[in-house]
Amino acid sequence: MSDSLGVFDEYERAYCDAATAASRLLASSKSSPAGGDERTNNLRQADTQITEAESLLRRMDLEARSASANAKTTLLARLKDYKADLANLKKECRSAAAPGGAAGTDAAQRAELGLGEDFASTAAGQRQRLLDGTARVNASGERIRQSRQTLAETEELGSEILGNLHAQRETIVHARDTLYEADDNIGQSRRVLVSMARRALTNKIIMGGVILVLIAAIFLIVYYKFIRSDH
Amino acid sequence: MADASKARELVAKAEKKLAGWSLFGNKYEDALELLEKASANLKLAKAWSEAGECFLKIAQVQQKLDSAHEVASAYVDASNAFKKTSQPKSEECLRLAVKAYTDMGRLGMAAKYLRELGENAEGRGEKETAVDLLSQAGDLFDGEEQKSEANKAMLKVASLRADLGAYAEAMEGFETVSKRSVDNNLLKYSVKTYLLQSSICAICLSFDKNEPEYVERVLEKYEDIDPSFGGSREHKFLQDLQKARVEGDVDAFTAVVQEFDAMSRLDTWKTNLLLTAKRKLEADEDDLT
Repeated sequence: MSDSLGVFDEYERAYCDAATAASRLLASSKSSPAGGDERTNNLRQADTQITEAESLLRRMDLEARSASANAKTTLLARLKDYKADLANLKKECRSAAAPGGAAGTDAAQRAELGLGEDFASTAAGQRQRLLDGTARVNASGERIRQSRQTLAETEELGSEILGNLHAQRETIVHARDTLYEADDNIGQSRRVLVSMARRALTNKIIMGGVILVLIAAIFLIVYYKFIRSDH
Repeated sequence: MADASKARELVAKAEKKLAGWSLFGNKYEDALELLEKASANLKLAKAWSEAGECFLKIAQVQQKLDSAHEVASAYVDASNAFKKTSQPKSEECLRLAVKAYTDMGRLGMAAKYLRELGENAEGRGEKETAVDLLSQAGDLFDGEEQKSEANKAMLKVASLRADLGAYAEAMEGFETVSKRSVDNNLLKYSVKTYLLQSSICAICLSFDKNEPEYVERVLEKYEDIDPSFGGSREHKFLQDLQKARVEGDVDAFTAVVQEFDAMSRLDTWKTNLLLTAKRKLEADEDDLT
């Protein structure tokens, strides 16, 4: 793995050399008078540098793809940047090489109009960009701080809610225990009631028996008293 | 006012019943019925103190009938009625209710009303009384296996004790609750808060003991109680505080507190204790210079 990384680094260094050379040549071709020999020469050289850089990038791409998974993402991200750079260089080169040196006349026209170089490349422009960037970083820092605060609050709330849940759980368990107790009591009372009913029934039967015995006794007495006394 | 006059009539009737004697039926039960009607009417008329007296009478009658549970609930009703007019009377009734529930063996109910009494005392600023009542309530809850209620009462007691300056006892309370909560899935997230409170007490205590390294030992102990406490925001806060405290740097102390407060607002209790700690730190510094 370190081997493939080493190859990648080598290609990268070569690419950087080629790219810087190309951009230097382009810059010098801009300053040289349009249509001059030097200019065309420079442009041609820049073009070859760019082609070389392009082929280097392709090889880097291959290396990056064969690298391990976690190294791959960073390498590919770097490659993407390089590709964008190269595309820019190419565009610049093409516009400089265009007949009549469109870029050169454009720059001259802009200068005549009182416009400086591309605003983004001036010191003021870069400063502005830097300020914008800092402001954005500050804003996101503030947002992160706020979200951390909210998170802390949420955590507190959550732990409180969990505490409440536990208390409620205890209440419910307690209520269930009480319910079982009540159920037991009801079962017990049902048994008592059943035995009471049974006893009432036996009482009734006994009472019936007693009544029958008494009636029989009465009849016996009547029988002996009247029937016997008749004789 | 129709309700009130009707209620008064009913009360008078009930009293006549109680004074006289009847052969048939139970005079107490009849009187009770009248008194209950009267109390309902008095409540409707918003004559709260009269309603309270009426409930007290019900309690007396129930006592004669030997129904302990009814007596207790009558006292609670009386206390609720008195709450609107005279707080001391209401508490007196609540105390009677607590006594009745304790006699009955309904300790959970007794604990509930003890806690109410304690909270009232705390509201009036009588912290010693509140500590007394709440710790009784906590013990009763604990005995009844109502752990979360017991924990709540203990935490309250601990924070009140810290307010009174009894830091060691307060820490003990917090630690007991933490140890109990750390094994529970629902409660383990609250342990950090308890340990933070306890550690703030430890900082105050370290001034009383005049032992700057005390807090470090306490923090180590707390990491053993709750492994997730080490490395938490609270832990870092306490370590920074401790550093400022050992160095005797009041400004650093204030800065650390400010930083923590910016993230999550400190409540009144913590603010009070940290202020106490800061004053002590300032006093220490003055002694040295």
